[in-house]
Amino acid sequence: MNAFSPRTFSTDWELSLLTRNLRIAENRVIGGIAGQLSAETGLPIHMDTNSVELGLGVNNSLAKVWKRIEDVTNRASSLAAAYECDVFPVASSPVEGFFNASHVHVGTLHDEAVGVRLERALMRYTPVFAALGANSPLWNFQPLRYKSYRVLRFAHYCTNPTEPRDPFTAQAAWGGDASPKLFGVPTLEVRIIDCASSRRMLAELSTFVAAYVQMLASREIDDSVDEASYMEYLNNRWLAARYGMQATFSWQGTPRPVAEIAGEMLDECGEALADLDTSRHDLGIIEQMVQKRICQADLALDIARRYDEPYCLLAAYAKRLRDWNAFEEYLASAPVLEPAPALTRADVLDEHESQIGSGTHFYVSRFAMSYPGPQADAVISELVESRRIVREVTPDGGIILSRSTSAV
Amino acid sequence: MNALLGRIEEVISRGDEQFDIAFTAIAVQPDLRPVPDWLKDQRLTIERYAADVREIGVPGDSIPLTVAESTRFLTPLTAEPAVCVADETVVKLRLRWHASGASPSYKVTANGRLVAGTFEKNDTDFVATVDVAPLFPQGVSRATAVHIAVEKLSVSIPVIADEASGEAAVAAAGGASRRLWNDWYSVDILTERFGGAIASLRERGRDIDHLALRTDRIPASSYNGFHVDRLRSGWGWDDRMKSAAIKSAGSRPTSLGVRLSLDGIVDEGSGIRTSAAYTLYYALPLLSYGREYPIGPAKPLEGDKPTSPKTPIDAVIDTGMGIRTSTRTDDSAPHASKVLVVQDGALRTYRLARARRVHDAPLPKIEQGWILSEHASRSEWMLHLFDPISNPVLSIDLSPGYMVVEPYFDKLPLTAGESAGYSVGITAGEAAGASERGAWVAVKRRIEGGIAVGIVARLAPDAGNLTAQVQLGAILEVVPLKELATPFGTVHYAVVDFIGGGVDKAVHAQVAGIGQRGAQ
Repeated sequence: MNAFSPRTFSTDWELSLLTRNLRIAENRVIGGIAGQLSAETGLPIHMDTNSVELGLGVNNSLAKVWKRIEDVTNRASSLAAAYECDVFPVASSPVEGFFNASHVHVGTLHDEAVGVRLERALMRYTPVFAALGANSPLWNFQPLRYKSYRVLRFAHYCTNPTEPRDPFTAQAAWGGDASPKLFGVPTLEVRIIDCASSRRMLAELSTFVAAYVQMLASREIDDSVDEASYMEYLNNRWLAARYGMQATFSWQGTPRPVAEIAGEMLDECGEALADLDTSRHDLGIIEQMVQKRICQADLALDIARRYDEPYCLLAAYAKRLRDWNAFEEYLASAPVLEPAPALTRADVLDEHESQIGSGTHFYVSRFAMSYPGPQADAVISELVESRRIVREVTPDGGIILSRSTSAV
Repeated sequence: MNALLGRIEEVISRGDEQFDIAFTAIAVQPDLRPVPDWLKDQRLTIERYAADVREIGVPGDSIPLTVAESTRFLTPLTAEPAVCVADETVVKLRLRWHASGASPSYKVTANGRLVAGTFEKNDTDFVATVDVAPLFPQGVSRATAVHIAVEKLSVSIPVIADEASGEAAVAAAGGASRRLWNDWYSVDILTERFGGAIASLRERGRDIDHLALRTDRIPASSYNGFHVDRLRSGWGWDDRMKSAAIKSAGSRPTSLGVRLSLDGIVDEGSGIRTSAAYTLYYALPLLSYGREYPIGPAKPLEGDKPTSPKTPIDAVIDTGMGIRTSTRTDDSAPHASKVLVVQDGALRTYRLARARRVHDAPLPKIEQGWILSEHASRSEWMLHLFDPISNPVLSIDLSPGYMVVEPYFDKLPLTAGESAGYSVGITAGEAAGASERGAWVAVKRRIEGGIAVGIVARLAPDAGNLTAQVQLGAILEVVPLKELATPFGTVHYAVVDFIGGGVDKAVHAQVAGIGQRGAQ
């Protein structure tokens, strides 16, 4: 018997509202909008930090979640327009520091121990979901270097790398890439996915994610985790944030393009999709994304190349996203992208070094790729031995790192 | 730099993805401040390229302008020179935008007299050259101002009798300001915001502004490009000082330098006022200022009636103070911008590779009462000086395009009738040195027949070797350092004249045995 019974799913989609002054509508006004939407639709729509969180109820098929998404977003758009606002379906803004998400809830789960085992098993796959969902390349005046600043920055500690837990000792936990959320709703929540700009894409992705998780639960759960597989997960997670669907993951030690992996995953969960009254054929946008190695971040980056001034970029991006089909239109005409090279040790060293200036507290470098202590310290040691950085122990400040003067 | 936010009235295609966008101005970015009077209800136009017209929008949508697009609208009228010295009689006017398009007239007034005329059109702008001598038939005997008015537009040019030092009201790009100057620096103090902020610190020798804003982007923070004083409450900084306007300002000469005093209200509800007094030393490249926050009786909100007995702790106002100075970094040389201090008796260098996060470990307090900001790629250094008996905690950050130094003092529990404050010294120049024994900055100015090099230093109590070796070109001078007591502790200084030297020659110096940063 599958741990998910009945098989259901949902998404809570965090949408900000952009005012005519190009500012995000504040919490003090968002609550009323959320409340009205909830009353009209009967869905659990709430206020979240500077966003309306569209809880899309309990769904058992792509068709059902798609209809709900269409109806709710149409109503949200017209309600926002009444206050001269636009629904701003983005995971990040070029001029502000917030992050928004599209969490996927996979139901219906009542066995927490199974949920914790699935949490471990999903560590291999959540980076794939992150790559598909990557949609936060424009963030807070930062350079255009990552396709998901949200995943890179842990969504301000709301979406953290999973720490493997033992079902027999696990305490209630929240905020990992994917974890059971039985203290709230009877689901396993996949949190790693950025807020979607395309509503059809979100409908397809949430269906796929749910089907895949339910498929994993339908067979012997492989929740084995060792140091090598954990490091592979962290590296792939970072690669997804950096390259989106162009990433080349390490897959059980072998470099493999994430697009290829995603294609296989779509095949693997065919029966589970059928249980949700869906087939791979119905996931046309996901299919195109896999074929072209394109994610929603690529639309944002395409627009960003035309605007140097971040406020002008914000305005152009927001206006383009008024069209819920903007991503589909872009996807249809964009060329196929090449896969990025596989991760090398040099890349790891460079990424950690990029966090270090002068007098940098050593813990800052941990946030480069979320490496646990021993592995992060090994990187620091390698950088020290190659004379790229200098390590000092200070009485008040602890361990501080500085770029070598020869390497400026 | 500021930029306009507009509301689209019409989008007109010119073909080849080129569009004219007609709009009305609705706010000034980045803080969404009100639009200047001369732009209200005006239909303005810009040209834009757009590969996809949907990215421009439709009538009723907002349109943000770039800094470059906004400049002619926000500062349409300019006058040169920026300051008239007594014998300068010609002022050049330029009008970059005018509502009607026809040549407007101007009025120039001073001393109750008037010179009027009409602009002429050149290729791009309206221009006029005005002889202001008729406004001063008896010459200039005291600092005053020439006022230029063109319909709703106006600028003022200070007219000074003594070019060496003084103070005058100016209309600067950031708003109403007071300008202090001596032989070394010209300093603009913005009075209409931030409770008084240093908006410009310009070396007169090299004509470099250490607080210059980037001109290519709207700043990520409206604090960028200023030296401001800020308050802290609760867990972090608050913005009460941002909207605090100076209510009164006045200046007077003192034996040390011209002193400018400001006074204003920060938070009427809490009873917090603020005052600041700036002194630009006559003979030194040194700006001194003191900031005070007197706490008066709180003004209760209308209808607010006490419902429970108050205890002494209820009257406490959690008061934290600090400063924030942002200076430009160079995109091509980010490693060249650093902050240097002494901590644990050792020289420490800080450079952030990325903006600070909330969870980043805090930095310790500085020692010796100094912080040196370095932009070696531009040969620009700025030394902040504090009283060593109350060293602030070092805090630094990165804002896009800027290095931010924002030290703060320990918080105090204040009640009505009490006051808190601090004194700060600032010197900035083209060369500097730092070690565990102290720090110094050197700056040049022109003198008759050559160059003078001024050095200001903060030295450790046991520094010894109180001499400065200063070289300009082939000439090396060794001079004793003199001691000066200031509200922010003791400083040492020297001024060395080099007859025949040019402002383009680099300064090389060693002060109290502290070598020069980056010296070969």
